[in-house]
Amino acid sequence: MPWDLDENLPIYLQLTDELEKKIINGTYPPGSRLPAVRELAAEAGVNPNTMQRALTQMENSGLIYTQRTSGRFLTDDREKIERLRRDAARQRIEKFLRDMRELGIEKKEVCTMIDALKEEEA
Amino acid sequence: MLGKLFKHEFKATARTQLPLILAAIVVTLLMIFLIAVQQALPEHTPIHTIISILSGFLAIFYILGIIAYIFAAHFIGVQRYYKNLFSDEGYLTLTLPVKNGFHQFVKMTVSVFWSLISLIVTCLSVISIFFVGIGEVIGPVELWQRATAYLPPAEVIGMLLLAVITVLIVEIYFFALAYFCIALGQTFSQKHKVAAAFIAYIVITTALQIVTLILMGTGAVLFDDALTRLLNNEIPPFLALSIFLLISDAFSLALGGAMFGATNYLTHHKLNLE
Amino acid sequence: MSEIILSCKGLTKRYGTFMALNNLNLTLESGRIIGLLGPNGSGKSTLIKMAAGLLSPDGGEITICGNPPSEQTKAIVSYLPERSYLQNWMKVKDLLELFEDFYQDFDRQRAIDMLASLQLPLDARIRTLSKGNKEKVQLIMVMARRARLYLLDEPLGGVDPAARDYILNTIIRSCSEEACVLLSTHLIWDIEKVLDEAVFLNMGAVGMHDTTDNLREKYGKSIDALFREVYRC
Repeated sequence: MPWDLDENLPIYLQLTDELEKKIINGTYPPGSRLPAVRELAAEAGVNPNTMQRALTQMENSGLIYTQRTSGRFLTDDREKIERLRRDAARQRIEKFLRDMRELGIEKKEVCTMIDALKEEEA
Repeated sequence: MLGKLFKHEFKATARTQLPLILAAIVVTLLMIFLIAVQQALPEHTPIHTIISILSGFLAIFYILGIIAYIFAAHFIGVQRYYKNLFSDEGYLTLTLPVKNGFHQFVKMTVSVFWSLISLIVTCLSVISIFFVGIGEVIGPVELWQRATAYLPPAEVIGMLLLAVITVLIVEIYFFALAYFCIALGQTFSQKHKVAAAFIAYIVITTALQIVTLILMGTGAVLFDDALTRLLNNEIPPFLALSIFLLISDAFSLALGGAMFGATNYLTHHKLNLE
Repeated sequence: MSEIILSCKGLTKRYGTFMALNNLNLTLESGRIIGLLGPNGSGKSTLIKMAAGLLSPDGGEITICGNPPSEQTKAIVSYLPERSYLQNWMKVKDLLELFEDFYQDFDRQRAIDMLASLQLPLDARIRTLSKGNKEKVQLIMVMARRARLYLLDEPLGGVDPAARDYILNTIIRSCSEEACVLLSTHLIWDIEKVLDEAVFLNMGAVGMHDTTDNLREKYGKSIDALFREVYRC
């Protein structure tokens, strides 16, 4: 199944987002070998060159490194990944709070609602 | 590449031509069987009469069948050309990495081949039925002896050669004309290629007939002297016939060659698929 | 190392008074998947047929890897027309033999693997295949060649969504540094994620030619939306 991408925005940026997600949630464990560009592109349903561009960008930010003969590997710098995780989470939380503010619901009320949900589940 | 084209062309055409040959052989054997039975039975008996009537009917079907077979063998050659080059199949055929002229040459050769086979099979069929009918088999050696009793050996050989060459040239001419008409048809009309091809055929054959008449008329005037001598039986008729055939063959070959060349040009520069 | 695979300079083609291609200029490099986009009658099919060697230009020039269309270019160009060009009497394995005989770059094993993955038996007679399966067989033959230029004329027309995914997947996997894929389509939305570049064709000439991501950044919309805007009736 091809990845869910928005054609209205540059694809390569969305690919970096998707790849980062997969790194954060552990689909690609730290230090693991990434599939070949063509494999990834076929899985995502995108052009290999576009996928290449996304990977190059991630190489520049240090998340991925290439070994000439063995292929592409994920960094095993767990701290880096942890930072990525926190940044991604923070971005989403901030966006969520902004969305809630548009409904007129402030941070305090949001936290109360979350606690109530936790109670329901327990 | 040429060899591969031949291989695939034979493969594609053999599947319809070989069954026809088989059918012709079967029908021939049937006729032979009936005639042999007819001859073996005592005359003036009811069963003899029945068999005679049956073979009479079958003879008609046989003749029609033989004519149909020759016609079919030629038709397949023309239809294959059209279908493989000018219908949707052309998208594959004409993007194969071979020179366009190769396609024309291979299809012409294979079509002529199967048509000649149809003529040979027909001849053999008729000859074998004839032999059964007269109750004796005349081997080639005896035929030769009988023929050379009437005519000098050189003439016999000459006539045979001329006959073979004429048949070959007629076949080549037939397909060169058919292919040329198809090529013209598709050049002038994209939507009605077949109809246009027929129109082209009518136009060309009419034009050729007119030209032939003019040439013959001119010839009659120019060679008035020779013709008079011929009609007075001063020139041996076989010689005259041979000369006539040779001239006619030369013309056909030249014309066929010209049409072949023109077809090549049309299919290369004026191709109209879709 | 990018090489120029297809080059058109001032290319012109006339049908009577109608200009199918009007002074068309285009350069396509290797390692790309390029979409040829435009409404009906804009010259997409004509351009592709010309590159395939089926039509000759009335003016200008067209070269494939530096050579004008000839039997040499046909050996490195793999063409998938809109229509079925299969001979109905053949079996699939006869078709394999044909491709193997005539095309040095034909990868027989790859074709067999692809046929197997779609459960298309080698012994099947083409006459008995459904329309969808015929199209798949044709696509497999075309993509199993290691050509320099792939010309796909409306490869997704009339195909079900699952098959569409398979076709796009096959195209992506066939991509190589040495080859260029030119595909013409008006079903842009399905295909635009796979395209490197988009060439907008209008009345026989090139309107726009850029990478798809550049166009998305520049115009802030998908190629499909851009197309609808550019060719608004």
